[in-house]
Amino acid sequence: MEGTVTETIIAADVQITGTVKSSGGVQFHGKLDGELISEGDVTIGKGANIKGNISAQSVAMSGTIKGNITAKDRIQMLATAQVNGDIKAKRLTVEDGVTFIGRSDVNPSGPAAAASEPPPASFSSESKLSGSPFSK
Amino acid sequence: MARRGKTEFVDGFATLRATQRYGLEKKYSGAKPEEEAAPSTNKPTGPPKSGGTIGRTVMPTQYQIVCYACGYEFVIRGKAEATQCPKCGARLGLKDETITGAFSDELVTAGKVKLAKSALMNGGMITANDLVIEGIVKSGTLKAFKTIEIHAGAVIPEELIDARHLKVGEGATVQFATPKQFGDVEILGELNANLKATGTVRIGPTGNFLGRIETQHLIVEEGAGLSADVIVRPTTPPPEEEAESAENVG
Repeated sequence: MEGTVTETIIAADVQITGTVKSSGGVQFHGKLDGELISEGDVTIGKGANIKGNISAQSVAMSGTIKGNITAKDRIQMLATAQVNGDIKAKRLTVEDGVTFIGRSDVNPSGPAAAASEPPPASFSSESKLSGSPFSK
Repeated sequence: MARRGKTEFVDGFATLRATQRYGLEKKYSGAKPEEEAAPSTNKPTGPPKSGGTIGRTVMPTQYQIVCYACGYEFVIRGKAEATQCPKCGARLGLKDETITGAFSDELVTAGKVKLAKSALMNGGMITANDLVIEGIVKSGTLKAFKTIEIHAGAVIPEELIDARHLKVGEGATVQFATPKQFGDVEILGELNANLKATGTVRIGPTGNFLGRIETQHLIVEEGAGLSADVIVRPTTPPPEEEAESAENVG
C-alpha cells in the first residue's frame, strides 16, 4: 500500500439529508437528499437514490439521480443508471439501458461551453447537409 | 425424434450439418459415442476417443434484403447477383454498384450503391438497400431501404435523404435544419440535428453530436462528444411523466 487514499463508503441502509463533502473518493449506495461534493472519484451504486447535485473529479453511476452532475474529468453512466438532470464533463461513456433526461455538455476536444454553440456557417473542408444544396 | 428432412442433394454444407446434428443427438440422448458406435468385443483399450462432433459449422454469410417492390424483409445466405422476393415474387438485383463521374440515370438494386468522391448526381433516381455517399448530389431521388452513410466530402440536400438508418462517417460534418427520424443512428463524425431514433443511437469515439436527441437506446463511447438536450428512455413512460420530462428539457 502506498500513500493514504481514503474512500468513504455509505451503505445501502443509510439515509442522509444535507450535504456530503469529501476530499477523497465516495462510494454511495444509500439515499441522499442533498448535494454530494467530492474531490475524488464518486461511485453511485445500483440501489442508490440521490436527489441533489453531484460534483466530483469523476462520477460512475448505476443508481437513480435527480439533479445535475458535474465532473472535472469523466462521467460514466452504467446500464442501470437513471439520471434526471444536466451533466457536464470532459469525457462521457453511456451504456445501453440508461435512462437519461437532461442536457449533456461533453466535448472532449474543447471547452465544454463552446460545444453547445451552433457549428460555423461554412463547411469548406467537410460535407454539409442543409436545405440549400449548394451555398457556394 | 429429431427432425429429419429428406435430403434433396448432398453438398459440403449439408454434410457438415448432418454430421453436426448426429453429434448433437448423441450428446443430448446421453449415449456415449464409443458404446453406441462400437458394441463389438474387440474394442480398443485406453482412453476413449472424442466423438465425431463438430463444435461449430461455418455458415455462409447472411444478407438481410429488403424488397424494393413491396418492402418485405428477408434473409439470404451467401452472395448472389439476384434473388426473388418470397412475398411478391419480384426479381431483385443484388449487385453492388459504384458510381463515379456524372450520373443522372435510374438505378435500382437490393445491394449497396456507392457514390464515390468523384461522383456528381444531377437528377435521376437511386434505390438501394444501402447507400454510401462520398460525392456530390445536386438533385434527384435517393432511397435507401436500410442505411445511408454520409462520408467526409459528401454534399447532399437534406430533403433527399430517405433511409431507415443513418451513419455519419468519420470526418463528416452533417447538419439537419429540420427534425429527422431514423431507426438506428451511428455517429462517427459530427452531427448537428434534432433527432428522434426508434432504435439505437451510437456515438463512436470520433463522433460528436449537437442539438437534441430522443431515443430509447443510447451508447456513447469513450472520446465521443455530446452537447445536446437528451431524452433516453428504454421504455415508453405513462403520459403524465412524458409531459413532465418534456418541460424539464425545454
